[in-house]
Amino acid sequence: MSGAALVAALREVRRLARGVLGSDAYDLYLHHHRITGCTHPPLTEREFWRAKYAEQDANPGARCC
Amino acid sequence: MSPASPGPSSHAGPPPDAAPSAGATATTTPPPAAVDPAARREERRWTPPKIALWVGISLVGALGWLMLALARGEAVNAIWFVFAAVATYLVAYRFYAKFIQDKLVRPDDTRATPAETSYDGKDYVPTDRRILFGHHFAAIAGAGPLVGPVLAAQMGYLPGTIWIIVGVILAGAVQDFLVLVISMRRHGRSLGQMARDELGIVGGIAAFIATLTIMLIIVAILAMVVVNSLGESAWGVYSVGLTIPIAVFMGIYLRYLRPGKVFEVSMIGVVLLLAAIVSGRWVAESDWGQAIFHLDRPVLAAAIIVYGFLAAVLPVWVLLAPRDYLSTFMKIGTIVMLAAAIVLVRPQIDTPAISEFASRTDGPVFTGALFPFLFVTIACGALSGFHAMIASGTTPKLVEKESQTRMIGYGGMLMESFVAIMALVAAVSIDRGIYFAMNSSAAATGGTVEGAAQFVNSLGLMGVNLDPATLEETAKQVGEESIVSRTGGAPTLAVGLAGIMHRLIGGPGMMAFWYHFAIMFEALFILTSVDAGTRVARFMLSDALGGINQRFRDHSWRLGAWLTTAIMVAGWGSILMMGVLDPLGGINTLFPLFGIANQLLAAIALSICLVVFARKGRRRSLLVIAVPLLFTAVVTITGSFQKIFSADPKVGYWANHMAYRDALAAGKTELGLAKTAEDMQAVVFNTAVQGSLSILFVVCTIIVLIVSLWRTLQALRGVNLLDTEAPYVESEYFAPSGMVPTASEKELGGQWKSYLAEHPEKDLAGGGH
Repeated sequence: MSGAALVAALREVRRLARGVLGSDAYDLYLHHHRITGCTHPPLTEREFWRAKYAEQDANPGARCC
Repeated sequence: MSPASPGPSSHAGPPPDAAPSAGATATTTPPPAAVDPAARREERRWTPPKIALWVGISLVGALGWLMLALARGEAVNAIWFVFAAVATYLVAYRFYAKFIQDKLVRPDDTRATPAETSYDGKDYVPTDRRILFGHHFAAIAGAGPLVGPVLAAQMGYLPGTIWIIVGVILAGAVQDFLVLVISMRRHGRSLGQMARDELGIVGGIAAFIATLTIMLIIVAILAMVVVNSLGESAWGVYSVGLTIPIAVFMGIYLRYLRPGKVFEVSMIGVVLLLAAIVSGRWVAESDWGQAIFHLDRPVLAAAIIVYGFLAAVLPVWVLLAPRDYLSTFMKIGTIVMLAAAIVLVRPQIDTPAISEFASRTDGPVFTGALFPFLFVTIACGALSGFHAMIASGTTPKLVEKESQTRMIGYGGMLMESFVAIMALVAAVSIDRGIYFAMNSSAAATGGTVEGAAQFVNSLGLMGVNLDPATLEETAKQVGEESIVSRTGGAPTLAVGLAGIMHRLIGGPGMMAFWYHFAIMFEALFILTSVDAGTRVARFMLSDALGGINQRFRDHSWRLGAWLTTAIMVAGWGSILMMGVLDPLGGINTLFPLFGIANQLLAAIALSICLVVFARKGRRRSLLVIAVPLLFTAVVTITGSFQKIFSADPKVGYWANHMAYRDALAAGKTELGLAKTAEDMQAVVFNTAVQGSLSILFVVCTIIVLIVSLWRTLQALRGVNLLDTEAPYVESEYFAPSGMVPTASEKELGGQWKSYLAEHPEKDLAGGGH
């Protein structure tokens, strides 16, 4: 495997791992903000995560047994 | 029929804007949202290499099953479990799940999913199917599939293995798949909402009561598993206890130091966790460590109750969210590691395929006959109703394409089933004498190695001659004072896992580490389930109370939140306490209730699916739902009836209740395993509670079954055809269906890539961000 392919593969693994863990939530939000053409400035990363946890407080999801 | 082609009864929708061949114009109008059905059919055509591949897979599976079934009186290698399971899963996924998809589900990839129609960058986001698979799997798999199979090993490995594999294919994975599909078509509605929509008010209320009480019993019994595995174990209490400050540290790190660095903090958390396990040995060997962390079970139960309350009222960022990250990390890591270890170590299994207890009702681990009690003891891993709560809710809001539901719903559950198989392998890989010494109640073994050896040898098991020294030696190896009567499944699994893992990493000196590693990760899952479950139950209760007092609807009303949380914690806490103090050994009597409750929920979920698909006009393919529904209904209702009506006090709660009551009335102070009048009173009380819960569950479920049967019959006659689906919206999005994209999917993906390059505003997933 060439160096570039290896880097690409590692990057893909990182993307999948971040996705499964939910670490990419802010990126998803920013992306949404960008493509939907919102005029107001996006939340900062800190604000975003606060809002996200506040929302989780208000809407709990079950974990299975 | 290909998944991309709209089924006859689904909304056909307008034709795609661009034909697949119009590659040149694809940059101005979006390419089709689904692969051309003709191209897909062409791809699906059977070729000799494909036929050879599937014949090969089938042969490997058949060989695996033969080895498992025919190993009489000799050891069988654990690798055959892996071959039998994996090959059977592959065949079931390729053929049966495909059949369900084509005949019953008929997904339509030209139809936009909620992730696309309601795209908001948070709850509704088209999510890479492989990420969503991991997500969904992490949400459905917990301690359940690790515990049930361990207890079921009492009957030998074969009954459990057959049920786990056949059950998941015909029942569990079908349920998960279908609930995901119907919720996705309804904008991600929850199971409770769908029950109300489809079954009306009576069915809806019965489903609500059943769901709420089932949730409480599940939380209580999972908590009991933790209490049993940590009782009198300073090492365990210390290392599991440390997960709380570790999680709080992670929470603070994420909130104040480096917001959003979830991966980074999870790595730090895992390292701290491992440090907690390693340092546990030293703490457990110290006098102060013993003084602080050596706790009795009732004390631990009280601690978990207090913890459960606090964890459920604290903001999620403090404890729940960070521990969830840890738990996901550990879950996927450990399962991959265990699978690799079983394949590499290939332990010999000396447990008989079918044990003496398979044909008896008085097993020391759980009582009752193989039918129905084996089928309720193994719930998670074969059929778990609780999954319906996950498959409706978060996951359907993230699906990119309707045809991906097979991989996520059905495939995700196959994966959990494999976890259950691994747990079973770990449990049967340990010596049978040790297995029974660990899993018989303290009342039977007296809690001593001599008592345990005497008890186990008195069971008359073939080839079992347990020596007290063996028990002492094993306890020493895993760094515990004693392993006698460590019931609840988790410690047994931990011993099994330690036995396998140390041969791969670390040698005998590492057994104690692996044992506590296993205890830790099970406790981690369970504690997450406990506070997430308490939160969900609290919300359900306050919504219900909202009908009486409007203020309860406001979830930010602190007093209301505290009150409803306290009620729910009192609910599961009292069952937990009762189980911990039960003279008959708690888990042995309560675990069947857990399985029954979980599968009654499955019966409710399947009933809803039956009504939905009957109303969509499906006929013969409804058998896909009706057969597992009938089976689980028969199993759980028979199980409940035996628990309620059986005259055998070892099986029936009420028979036991009466036996103890009569004995007390006759002035006796000792009966069976209860050695004092107080113990006897406890038995009288506990059996009454357990018996009443059994009645409540079964009555609610029978109501739901009757309502759904009636609605289904109506639908079959063409009456009362409610259509609760969200309207058809044409998709402007494309993603492959399976784990690996096909050639035509790759080609269409390429067209989309160039289209999205010019229309970034249409790129909801961020184009491989």
